[in-house]
Amino acid sequence: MKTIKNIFGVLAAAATLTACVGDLNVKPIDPNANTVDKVLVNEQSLNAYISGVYLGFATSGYYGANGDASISGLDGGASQYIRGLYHHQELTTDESVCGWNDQTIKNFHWMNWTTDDTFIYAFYSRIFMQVSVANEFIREARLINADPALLNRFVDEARTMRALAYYHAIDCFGNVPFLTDTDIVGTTPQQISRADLFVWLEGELKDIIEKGNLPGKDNVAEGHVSMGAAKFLLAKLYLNAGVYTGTERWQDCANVLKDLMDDGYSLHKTSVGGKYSAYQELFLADNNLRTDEIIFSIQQDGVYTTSYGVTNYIIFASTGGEMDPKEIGISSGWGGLRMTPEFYKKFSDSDSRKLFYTATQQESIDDIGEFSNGYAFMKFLNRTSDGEPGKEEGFVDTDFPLMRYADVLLMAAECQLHGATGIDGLAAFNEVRTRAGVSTVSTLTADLILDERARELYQECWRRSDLIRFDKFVSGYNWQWKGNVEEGKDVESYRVLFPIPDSDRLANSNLKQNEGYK
Amino acid sequence: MPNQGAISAANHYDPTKPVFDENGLNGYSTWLDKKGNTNTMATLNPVALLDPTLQSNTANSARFLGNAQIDYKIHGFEDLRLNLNLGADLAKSNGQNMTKEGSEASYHNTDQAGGGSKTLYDYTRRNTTLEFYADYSHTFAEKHFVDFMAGYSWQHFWSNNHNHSWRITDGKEFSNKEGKGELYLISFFGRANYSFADRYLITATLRADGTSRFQNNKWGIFPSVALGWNIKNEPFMKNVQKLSTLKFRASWGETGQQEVGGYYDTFAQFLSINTPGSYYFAGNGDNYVAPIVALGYSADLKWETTTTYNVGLDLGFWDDRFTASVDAYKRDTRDILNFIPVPGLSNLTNMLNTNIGSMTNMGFEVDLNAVLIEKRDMSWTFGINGAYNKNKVTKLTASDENAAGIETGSISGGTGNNVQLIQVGYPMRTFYLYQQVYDTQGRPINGVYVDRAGAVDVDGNVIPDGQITKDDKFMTHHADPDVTLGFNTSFTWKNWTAALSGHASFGNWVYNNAASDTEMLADLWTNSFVGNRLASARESMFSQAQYLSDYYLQDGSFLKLDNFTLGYTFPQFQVDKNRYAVLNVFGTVQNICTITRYKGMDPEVYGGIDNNMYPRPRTFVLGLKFNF
Repeated sequence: MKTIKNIFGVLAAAATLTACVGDLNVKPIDPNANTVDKVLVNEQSLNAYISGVYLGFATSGYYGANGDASISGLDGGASQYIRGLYHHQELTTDESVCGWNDQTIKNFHWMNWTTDDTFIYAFYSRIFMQVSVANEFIREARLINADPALLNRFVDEARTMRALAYYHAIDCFGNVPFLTDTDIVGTTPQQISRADLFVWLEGELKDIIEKGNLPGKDNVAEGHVSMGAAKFLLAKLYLNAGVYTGTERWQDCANVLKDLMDDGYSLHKTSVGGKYSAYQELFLADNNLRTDEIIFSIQQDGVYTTSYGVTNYIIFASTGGEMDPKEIGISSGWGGLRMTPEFYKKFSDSDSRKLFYTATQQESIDDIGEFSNGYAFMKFLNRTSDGEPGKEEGFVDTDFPLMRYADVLLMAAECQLHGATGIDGLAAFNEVRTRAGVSTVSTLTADLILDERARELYQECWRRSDLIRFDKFVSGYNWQWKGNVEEGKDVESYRVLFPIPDSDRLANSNLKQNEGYK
Repeated sequence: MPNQGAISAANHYDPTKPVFDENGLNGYSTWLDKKGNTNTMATLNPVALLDPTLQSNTANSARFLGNAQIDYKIHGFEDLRLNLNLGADLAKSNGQNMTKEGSEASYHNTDQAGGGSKTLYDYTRRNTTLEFYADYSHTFAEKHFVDFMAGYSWQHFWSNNHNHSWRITDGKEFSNKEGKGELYLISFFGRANYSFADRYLITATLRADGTSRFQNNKWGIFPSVALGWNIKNEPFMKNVQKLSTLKFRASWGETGQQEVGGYYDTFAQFLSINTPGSYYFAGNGDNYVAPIVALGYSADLKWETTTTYNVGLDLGFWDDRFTASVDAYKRDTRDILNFIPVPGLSNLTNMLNTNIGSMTNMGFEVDLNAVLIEKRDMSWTFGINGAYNKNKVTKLTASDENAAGIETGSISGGTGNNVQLIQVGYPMRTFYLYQQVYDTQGRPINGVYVDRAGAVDVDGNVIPDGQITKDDKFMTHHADPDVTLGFNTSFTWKNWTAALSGHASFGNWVYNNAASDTEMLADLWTNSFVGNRLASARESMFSQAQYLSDYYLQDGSFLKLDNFTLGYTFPQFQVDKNRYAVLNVFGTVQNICTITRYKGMDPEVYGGIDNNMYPRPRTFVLGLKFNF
């Protein structure tokens, strides 16, 4: 009997251990990574959370420039959002070549990229990660107990940043995966056609503008979007409507521009520091102060918002050879980017936008890998308008101006050229030219507007879209090394769109490839 | 602690430069740019990286590994045995890294910009385990042996770490972070054993394993059954003298795997950023806010399960002087856990751990052991085991089409290059590369590959399409070996013993990433510095890096002699009245030699991608063993 009692005693003790099965229900104990109920608790966390949405455009990840990227399988710096935008919008044009041996980077300029290109997959992943991040913000933010006005403002900021990412999607990839905040994480998206995405974007941006939750020019927080940004994006959508849908919308564009032109923005016409021209002050380390003309820019800071992309990439990659990195405000350049002769020839000597380095460079690019071939850029600098260097020479303070009032004026001119009424496009056009120090014109032509956009907005990631809209991208205009031929040649017409990357088509069987690509 | 970066730096530095230069930084040769500043694009002086005044890495660590086992036979009922096992693995370490301001390494680091850095870090681990089982065994009527066992195990893994680093010159903080995580594994298991007259044996087991890693699929059930027929003990085998062992075995079983990824992969986690380089402007004054971001997660992760079918035969001859064991098996693994691209926009990042598909391993194993000489003064044993394995991916759940599969096997060099592809019908870790074209002298032609893809004509032949696109890549060799062998032999004579062991592998191919990343002639002179290239660059003479050429895929089959030990045991001597002591002296050589056609450092690379620049050392050991 005693032995049986002993046995039972032991078995009972063992049975109490089964209570420990509950141990499997864990909660994360990492002080920095937690579930939503522990993290999004008050208005401060809401502000931190919206900053996280913006951060995806400004850095490569969450652990500093030298830390792990938030996207896997690709080099952190090369896969940064704005750097990817530069690859797709600038390296494919007359404005820029890159001489590095980073695998297929030269394919952008040669215009012979393939569907398995890792840089294309990187940029594509970034765009959709940003849409996803914005969707998640909208889902979760609504659950927080916060002042409704603040909540509505932040939600509309996230919607605008989502629209910005979808704008890059519609422009570069056309027919893309599509999900909104009403879908849940883990859903495999369906593909939306370019024309349908246009309709959604138009409706979304009009709704944001109409709701009026976004701040105006004078009370927007630095680094956040204002109503002007939403209007700017809608104007860009209408400007390119012919390309995106086949139906042109010049008058609608002009109407939005007119609205935007009444918001109080103006060209930065007078040099504040006296050391650089007014134009160049838009591209210096303290360009966060240029709120007269810059509608929205992607933040960079040498100490706090660092990456190997955005303006850090543009400045470091544009500097090389015998250029003095100290003059530019950095430690030393990476020596990659130069311009083609066709682009250089568009500038007259009096143009204050002609911010190039030519001294030890030759105009013609005989060898794309040799930095001294091709004139170099000195537009973006890590120096303040007082001439002081930025905080750090390893990382720049210069923000990347994504939306500028000068672009608004040039868009107005283009709309008027195509018959839109209600705006004085010619006056707007001449305002830009006068600020640059070149003579005014009396009539507008397509070639003139296209060239002026090149002179005003170079390195700001608009060139490819402009060339496509003016029908000069795949054919009709050649530049050095286009098509991997020294004098340049026409390329296949399907290259107006980038391919849907192989990796995503393998992961998502709903996606069909863009026409022309195998 | 050694600076691993110095090894890579030594391989890349211009060998014609002197180590020291009184005009260089801190007295070492230093590359400068055209303006006379330290060239931060250039290679680092490897000897400077080892200078203890310029870099230091020190750490202290303490570890307690303990185990207490209580085994209790119930008094009066000795057939029942209870066993309780408690274990703890407690470790604590802290360390300090320093890079001096003004050192070349500090200038090259963009965060430090020459200002030096100091890092303090610590790590604490507390792993505890409790295991309890009860075992009842009894032989009934001298013929029926039964054994029942039931048990429970509980494991807890907990760790905590801190990392604080800042710039020496101005104290600018690089990071100040804390990480913490824990995992629980709980199992219930049972086993029943029955054997009749030691001739017919059957064992059945059942496990229920739970993990906290997969919150929505915590438990997995894993049963197994094994049968054995000890043919030698059959009456009709009694007179077969030469055959001392003959046993037939068959089994079926399932096991689970959950050791992939982090502890909280199934949670929707939000990260509060704590690295100042990723802050965002708060919009007022000079304030920066630490952003909050949503991390990607896979809510439905579950156990990876492997089902194994096995048959085997054990043989023994001449009183087991010669024994052999042969097994044939088939292992089907499903819900394989792997880090793969997820559909764009479906989640909050582009790649996640996912249960992606299934694969099969089939093969056989042979184990032979022989006592070749067995005399009073001399003995010689020899053992060899070999295995043949064939692996095949049978299903990929990420895509419905049987198209091209999932890229894997990332390499260093370029950005985002993958050299392997997981595809249905092929082994895991099959290389997916372009086929190199060679000239008449057998040298590879830079960038020229066989044009394999194109339209198919009426006879089914492929007409090359004239372009080299991704379709011209092909599934070539695989990284895992077809055949592995191990052998050991031991010879004793009087008081001497000598033992030799080694192993071999056949059919494993290796992608020589060390060569593909350090052979190209491009950028040898670039950005005002001269780099170094491997001597093998003269054989390829590639002007541009050709990461995706099968020229770098080499046969990694090898034979390695691992260990040779020679020992002498002194005759035992008396210490006191009842105690004797024995002294043994031995010498060992480890990593004796490797015979292979592979041109890199070491062909034994798991996964098949070799980035190794540093050879495995040959170790000589001289030892004393004193038993008393």
